Amino acid sequence: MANSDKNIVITPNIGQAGLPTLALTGQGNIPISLKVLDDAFGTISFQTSSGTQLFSVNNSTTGSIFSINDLSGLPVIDVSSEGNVDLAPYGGSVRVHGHNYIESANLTVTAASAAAIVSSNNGYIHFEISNNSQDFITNTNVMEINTSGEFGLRIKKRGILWCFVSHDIITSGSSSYVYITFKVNGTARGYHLITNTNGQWDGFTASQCFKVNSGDIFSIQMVATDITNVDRGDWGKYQFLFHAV
Amino acid sequence: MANSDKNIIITPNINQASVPSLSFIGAGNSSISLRVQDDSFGTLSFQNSGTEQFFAIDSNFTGLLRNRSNIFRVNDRNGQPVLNANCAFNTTVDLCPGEGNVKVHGHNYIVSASYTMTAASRNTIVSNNNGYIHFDIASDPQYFCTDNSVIEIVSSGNYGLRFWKDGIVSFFMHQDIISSNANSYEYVDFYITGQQGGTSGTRGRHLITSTNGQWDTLAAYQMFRVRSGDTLEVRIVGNNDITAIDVGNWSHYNVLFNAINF
Repeated sequence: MANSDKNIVITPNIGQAGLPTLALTGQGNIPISLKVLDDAFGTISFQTSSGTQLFSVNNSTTGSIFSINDLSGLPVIDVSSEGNVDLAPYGGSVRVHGHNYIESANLTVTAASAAAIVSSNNGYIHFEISNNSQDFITNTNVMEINTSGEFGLRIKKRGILWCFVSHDIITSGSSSYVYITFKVNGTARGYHLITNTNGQWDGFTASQCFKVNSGDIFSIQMVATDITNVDRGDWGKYQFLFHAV
Repeated sequence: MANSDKNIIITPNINQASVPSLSFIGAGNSSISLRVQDDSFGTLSFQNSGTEQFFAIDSNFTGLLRNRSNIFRVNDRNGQPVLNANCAFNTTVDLCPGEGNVKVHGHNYIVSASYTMTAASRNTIVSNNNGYIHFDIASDPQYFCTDNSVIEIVSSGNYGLRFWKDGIVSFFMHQDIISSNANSYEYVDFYITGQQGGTSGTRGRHLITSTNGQWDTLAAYQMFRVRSGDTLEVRIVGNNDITAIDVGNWSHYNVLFNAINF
């Protein structure tokens, strides 16, 4: 690693078996070579000193024309002459704005908040991951459970949040209704109701999408006059899908 | 800007402090240089004359500089990465890790939209016990479409939503409604017009039992395959007993569209 290592060496290899090569070496003495491959497409391949291809372009009329490769030579980004773009085709992560393009969460309600809603006929859903085999948040850098104020979810990126509710309840009346309110930063963004269930289990289903910004709190309030039971676990699911915009 | 400006200058800089470089200059006299940086990964950096890096490749497979060095990197005019391919630890392709748009087929890969219905179409449906939804964003920021070049509100004929790309539409609706009977039903009818599948027609129906004078929710979820130019029309049909339909926060029609080339 010295200034004496620096060089740019052009080896045309006219009339030779070796590939035409432009070897570029900096002070770190880790050369990357631009080689013109022996194919019919004029492939220009950027390679390490051990011959691993990092990046290549060619003028083929079929198949790959632009490829970025990992250390085993497998493509990480591949563009075909047919116009297809393949990102991480052999595994790994594709991230947009620093996270997966779609993040998901599957949560249930805490026993305490279910009991509080029954007791008060009114209350906010407190989310929890109660069963690690089925409840999850794919990226807590994007959304996390909020444990104060109106509880709910704290959103940490700008995008669109989809919420899907499937929650079983019992109310004693047969007229009027029970409803949930979706709120963003305390402001109602949607109401969803079902007619009171006349003492029978019934399913509260709702879905809606929202524009959210980093720092927003998304909360859900359940309001009724005669709730007698609110289930949780397998019978009380709150699912979220977030995508970057 | 002249032919005399054209040049390719190779400067190996052996034993010099400056980095090895290849400068490419066209008749426009705006040079782009390929520079070999002083690091342990042999980084090749394509830079403008102001030394801003806009494209680089290196052989960093170790992850030692995972957060700043990648085997392939394209930068914006501020030097912030737009595209990173990183092979350290685990393959990661990072698109616009800061701000900026990532488009597939010319638009966001997923487009979301949230609508309500107009009060006028609500009144028509209640009056006739039958009518098409006229979607509305009501000048309210809670209603939106993330890309109007993909999903457009149709405001003539049977109204509905028109899609301007090929893809899959996931449609979610929750509409609060009161009907007077207890032993019949109201339903919603999804109709696709255009070229999807070669013919237009009904693509799904969803009902609730008449609500016996109580508020209840007509909810439906369905997916549709659409081609550019197709229109989704949504009609509510009652049994001569619809007495009220709500709008605003009690009326939500949400769409999730993802581009598919089929």
